[in-house]
Amino acid sequence: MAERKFLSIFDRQETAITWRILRSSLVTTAGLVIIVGFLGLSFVLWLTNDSILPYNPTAITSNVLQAPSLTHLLGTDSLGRDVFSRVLAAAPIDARVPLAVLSVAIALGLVTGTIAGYFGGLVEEIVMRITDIFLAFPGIVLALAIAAALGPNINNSILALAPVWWPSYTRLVRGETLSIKTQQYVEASRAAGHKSRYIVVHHIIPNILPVILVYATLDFGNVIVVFSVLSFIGLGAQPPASEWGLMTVQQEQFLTSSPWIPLAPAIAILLVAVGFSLVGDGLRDALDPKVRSLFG
Amino acid sequence: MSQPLLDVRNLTVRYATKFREVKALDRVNFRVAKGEIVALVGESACGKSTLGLSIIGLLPSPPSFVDSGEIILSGTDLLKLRESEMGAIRGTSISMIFQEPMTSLDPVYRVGDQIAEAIEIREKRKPNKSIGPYERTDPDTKERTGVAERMLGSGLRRHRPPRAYSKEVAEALGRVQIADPLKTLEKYPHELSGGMAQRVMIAQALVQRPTLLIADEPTSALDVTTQAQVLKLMRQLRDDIDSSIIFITHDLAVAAQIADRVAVMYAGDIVELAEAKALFRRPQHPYSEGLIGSFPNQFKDEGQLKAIPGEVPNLRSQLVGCKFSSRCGYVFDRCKVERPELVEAGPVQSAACFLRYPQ
Repeated sequence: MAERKFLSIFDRQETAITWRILRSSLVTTAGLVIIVGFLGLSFVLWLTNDSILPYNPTAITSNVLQAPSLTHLLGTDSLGRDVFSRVLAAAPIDARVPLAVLSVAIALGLVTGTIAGYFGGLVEEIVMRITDIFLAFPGIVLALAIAAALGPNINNSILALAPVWWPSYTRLVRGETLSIKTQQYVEASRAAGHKSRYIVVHHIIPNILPVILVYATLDFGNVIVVFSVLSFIGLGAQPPASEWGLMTVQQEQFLTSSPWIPLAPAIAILLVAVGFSLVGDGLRDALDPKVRSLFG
Repeated sequence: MSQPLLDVRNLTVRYATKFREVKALDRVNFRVAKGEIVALVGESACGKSTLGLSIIGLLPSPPSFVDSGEIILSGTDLLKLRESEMGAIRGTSISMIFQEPMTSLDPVYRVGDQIAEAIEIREKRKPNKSIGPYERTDPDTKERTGVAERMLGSGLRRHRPPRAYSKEVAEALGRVQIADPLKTLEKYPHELSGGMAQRVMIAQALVQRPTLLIADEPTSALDVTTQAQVLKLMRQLRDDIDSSIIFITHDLAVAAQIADRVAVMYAGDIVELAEAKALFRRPQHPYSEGLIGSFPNQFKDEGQLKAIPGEVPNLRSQLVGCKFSSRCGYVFDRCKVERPELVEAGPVQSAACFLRYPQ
């Protein structure tokens, strides 16, 4: 018999309800399918080292700028590389970078934001002034500087983007914390003798989680776009490696003549970004007590 | 009163900001015996809530701080305890119920879980003391939960494993007159009415079995019928677990219904402390008299309610003499220069007034 963890919204029976709410919505299910497909594909490609792709994504051939056909589903680019293979091959990178950047941003944002918001005073002043320092730089310039200093590769782009991303999460979390900590249930929890850490973990964070989730899923596409800027300048993914943002930006001169070349990766970004925001919306609904109570 | 459960001595609390300082409580003295219900009544901003919050140690600080005095609960001075020790007392020895029942429950958790949390606190803090009318429910042993599961039976949906403590949670909800405890414990706070939510809060206090319960206007947000039910429940709670209750209210009728003794507060002082019946029959302090006179009462047949003339004095200004002197109809010279002390004029009643007790 599973031991019940008190005040958990993640135990087995509550997870079962979350799952049922997610699947009950057609749109959320569609988002789930996209994301599971995207992450699954990334994982398989990473495992098989791209060997399951129809063509080598970096092999240069003389079949340049071919229109989509059965042999080349999305045609070929100006160097004769198969666009379909290149779009698929970019999945692992485009999964890894945004997920890593957002995870770091959410984790840092939750920790620093709740501490600043809940404890206030000097702690808050210090944390918020540090975020101000980060926000004072234009994000992209800061990322470029860090990426240039660390050297161009994908892990370094993650290290370059994370410092740009976390401050907005800290501010968001702090704002929410400030409003939640004035709620009477927080005072009631203190009257019940709970320590600050318990209150933050069990009352503050569960109440701000929906806001963060939605914000983060909408942010997913932004990370890809900024990452592609790094790549375009030569500080992110390195050619000939394929990356959606880089592919779109580099091949945009073919938008009128061979639209499939820039459009295929652009649509891939769109699809994944939409997938994440659909799931984010679904999760927000699923975590809303008013919806949960309808599902038992 | 032989050995009081709670003994507040000369408590002074100040609210201080950069620009001004206010004495929210001015040398307050009062005692609460075991199993006694004491009501604190008075107008807004007279220090009722400040007194309640200082006892449980939750004064918002800054800006407020305890200037001097002692708050002795069963022999320990709470003001001398470290924050961690005070934390252990909250929720076990002292509990608090707040005014707004709907916002006192965390919206993201089911009602049952929030009561179970209170049980968990109790069980964690006093592992070997199983007192009171309840059988201990132990979440770790299969046998116990098996029993709980059978007891709850069809109430829980089949896909749900039985929740720890759910038997005691359901029992507690039943004791506060919630019609269908098994269904209610699965509900979220937004599905409850104000009265139900307040009863859930009382159930939470019930399972904590505090020796002292501080109820800060627990019925003010409820309609009169629900209010009466909640008051009855709180009396019952006192009878069941022998808790003492400090009941903060601005409603004299509520105080008359529930309290054994009533402390009338005015501008940070307790001006009269009396057994409920005596107070309403023969108020000693002119302020109590005015307060009772300004309240609709079924036993009164005068056509018009009397308001107390004037306003509560500004606590910022340095007050000399009796704080009520500016509004008092019986005021004489001494009131304006000397501060009256609360004089025990017998076993049932005492008041801080030179008129009745020239000391």
